[in-house]
Amino acid sequence: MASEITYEELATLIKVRAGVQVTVDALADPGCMFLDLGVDSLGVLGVLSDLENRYGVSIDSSELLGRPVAEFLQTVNSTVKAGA
Amino acid sequence: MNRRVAVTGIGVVAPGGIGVPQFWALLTDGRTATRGITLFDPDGFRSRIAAECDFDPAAHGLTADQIARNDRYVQFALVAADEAIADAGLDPGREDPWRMGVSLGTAVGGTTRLEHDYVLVSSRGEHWGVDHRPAEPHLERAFTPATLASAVAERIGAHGPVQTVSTGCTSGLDAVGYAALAIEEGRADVIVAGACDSPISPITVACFDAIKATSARNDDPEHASRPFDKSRDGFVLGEGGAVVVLEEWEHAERRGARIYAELGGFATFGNAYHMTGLTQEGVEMSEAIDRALAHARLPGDAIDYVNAHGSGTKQNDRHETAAVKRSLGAHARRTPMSSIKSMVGHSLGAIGAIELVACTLALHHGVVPPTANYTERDPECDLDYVPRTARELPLRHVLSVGSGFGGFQSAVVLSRAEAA
Amino acid sequence: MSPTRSAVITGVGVISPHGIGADDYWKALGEGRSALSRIDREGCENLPLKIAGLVRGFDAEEYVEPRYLVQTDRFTHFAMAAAELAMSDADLTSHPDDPFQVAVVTAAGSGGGEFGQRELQHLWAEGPHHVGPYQSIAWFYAASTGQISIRGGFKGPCGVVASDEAGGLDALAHAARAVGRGTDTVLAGAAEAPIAPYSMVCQLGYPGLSTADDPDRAYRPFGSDAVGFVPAEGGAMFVVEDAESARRRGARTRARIAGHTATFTGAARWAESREGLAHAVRGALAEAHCAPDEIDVVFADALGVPEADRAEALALADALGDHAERVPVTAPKAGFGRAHCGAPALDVAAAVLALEQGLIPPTPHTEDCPYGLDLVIGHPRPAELRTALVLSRGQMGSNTALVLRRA
Repeated sequence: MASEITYEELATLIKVRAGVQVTVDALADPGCMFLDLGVDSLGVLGVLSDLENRYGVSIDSSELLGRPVAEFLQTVNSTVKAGA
Repeated sequence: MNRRVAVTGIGVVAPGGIGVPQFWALLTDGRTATRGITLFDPDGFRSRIAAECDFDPAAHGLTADQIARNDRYVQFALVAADEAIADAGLDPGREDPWRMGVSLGTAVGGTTRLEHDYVLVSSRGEHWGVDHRPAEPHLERAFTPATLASAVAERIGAHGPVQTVSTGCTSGLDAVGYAALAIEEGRADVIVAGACDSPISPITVACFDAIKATSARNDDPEHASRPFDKSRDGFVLGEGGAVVVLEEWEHAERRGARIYAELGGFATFGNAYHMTGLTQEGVEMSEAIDRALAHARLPGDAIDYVNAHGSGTKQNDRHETAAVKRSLGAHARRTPMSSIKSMVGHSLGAIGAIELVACTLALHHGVVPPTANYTERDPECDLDYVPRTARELPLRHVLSVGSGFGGFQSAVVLSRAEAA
Repeated sequence: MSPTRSAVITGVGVISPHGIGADDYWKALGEGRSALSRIDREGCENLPLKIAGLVRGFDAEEYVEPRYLVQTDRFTHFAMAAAELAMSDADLTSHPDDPFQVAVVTAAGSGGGEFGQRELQHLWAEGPHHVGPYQSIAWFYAASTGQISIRGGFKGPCGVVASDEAGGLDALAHAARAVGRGTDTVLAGAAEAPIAPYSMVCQLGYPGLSTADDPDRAYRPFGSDAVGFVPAEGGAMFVVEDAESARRRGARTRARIAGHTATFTGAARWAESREGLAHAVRGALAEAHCAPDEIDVVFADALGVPEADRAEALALADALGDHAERVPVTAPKAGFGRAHCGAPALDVAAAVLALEQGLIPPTPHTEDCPYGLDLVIGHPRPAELRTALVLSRGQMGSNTALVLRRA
């Protein structure tokens, strides 16, 4: 069974895939947007495809781009849970 | 010194139409050449559709050696150049070779061949360290994009300025635009200019899959390329190429050439914004349009037709609509603007040159090609996109615009010879 | 090259096998050092190409932010770092007041091969979903121009000459012409990173590639024992500016781009390149309003293939007359190899420094020259230098000449 993706893991992925250093506190802020952190759409797609490949799920990105980080993580986690 | 630039010959290799007559028939009929990918097995890819050329290089006069030495995109260039030169009635052997040049664009060059041989030398990606022995001959010609202009220059015997240009999806407009500047500024009298790409290969399809830029309307390929339509969902990858013969005006007149059009305006700028993203406002494309108009010494309301980049991605079509409105003002609403990518797909660097051939034909015949598949209006794209049916219209001045990955924004102005 | 606006170089940025930055580069050139070595990169062990000029000790993070690094190949890291060094040299800042007045022009002969190979491996070993979002912007030839433009906020007439070696000079001419048409500043040049396993396989078919395995003997241009050329990585970027704008902002003018001509005589037709190169030299001299005997030094193409070396010597005789026997000719790239489009860009950097320092760096490795040229070998030669001629030929048939004048 897949466990929840945490803000810590997300921060690591953002560093690796988008080259941006972010703090867990900033990510966990309810209003936090990827663009505010300096992570552009390609960076978000890189993070997303990494998660998709890791958990073997497919996530509709068109709904996710431009959404707050919290919502992004929630959607990813529920998709992973449903797919697991 | 006021050197003008004439378009005296055109040649094209496009999906659904190898050669100018077939190409123009496709555009004016509003038919689409998009279909399920046949050049490789697209199973497992997100986007499995493309606009492919049914191209037999031998049937177009290329020898076995020329076919072996040149990647598919270079073969397109050789065939399109032959057609353009014959159309221009130009005998390259009678020209001063030092005053004759070549300027050709490509976005991804020999990628298809590079991928083919990569699979051989890496045992399908098994090893990082590769074994050179299975590589096939002439791989170095796929490695460097300079091969494109070089192959055409050798074919016509040009000794003047020969260059390959690679500014992403504006490569075609830029290669032709630079050629026009070289003639205007006196560095050559005749330049064979254009662009070619043959990007329909797994790596290129996968890289656009990864950024969700291409249409995934896999169950309805003929209607998948839907520029400006509300339900558009990305571009449809294409392939092909086009070549124009550009000549210094008096040079063309002296030899009694038919002059299709004058290329009087060209400009390109960077948006310095994002490698793939576009702004809402289109300021940089608008700047390119304004400067191209100024170069051609024309006001915005002289433009009778806008040949759009119209790739069919959400952001491109919105960006471009904003840019054209910004430059042409109220005149934008009165001016037909269409995207032939609806019919021949988006062949990356090649498409700008293919679109310039379409513009030349539009001026010549007084017919505006339509935007196929356009059925539903998008509130953010509110211009006259010439839905589905070609339109007869006397044209004097036309504008072609393009945007490319890397932020490039280019514009070219063509004028009917009598109006120039 | 424009009758009214003159293009000058106000900044030089170098990434070379001799080191990072113009100072290290010039020091090594002056000492006639060699940076050629065995290729010791992972995955390159079993290829028949053994010697190259490798850029060592380059820490990309020192020059480029991580968010750019993840989305770009090494060739773009080099170009961005070289651009950064050139801008700092010229005291030019990012995000100019009028962004449309600053452009970026690069030449690219091979693109982001290492990045491309990695993504090809993802695709073929793991499947299409494993190709990352940056493949679409890292491998293609326009990557460096695009990223430098975005990073600096430069919106001028940006361009990419995707050419063979001579493209490195053509990019500078392209920049000078943009200045002539009204753009104040252009960051121009070329950098390449073709020493990755698959990129090396792709180069094996180049006629004239040296597969010798002794760094001292692999590349001896103009020598009687020349056996071909070795590839290299690296390149140079320049700040090219309208002379008047440079003067207004108090920038130090380092050299003037005075003339350029490009010709074409067919891929690997070295005998024919004689006529093409001579024609290019005459054109560049005419554009620079320069008499043959005003040329004080020639930075040669120096392919290291006897037929090509002979053709280059004959081209100089054809274009410069008697002066060809007297003018010092040098090829410092014998000490670090040919970085495709980056090679002539590095030659231009060497020429600018030579004009300033009054010193002609020697041609390393080569011990003799049977072609009747005054080839500078062994030691650097002090000389009063006002005008330099830089030559380049490409594998696909280009011949280019560029004339630089001392500021």
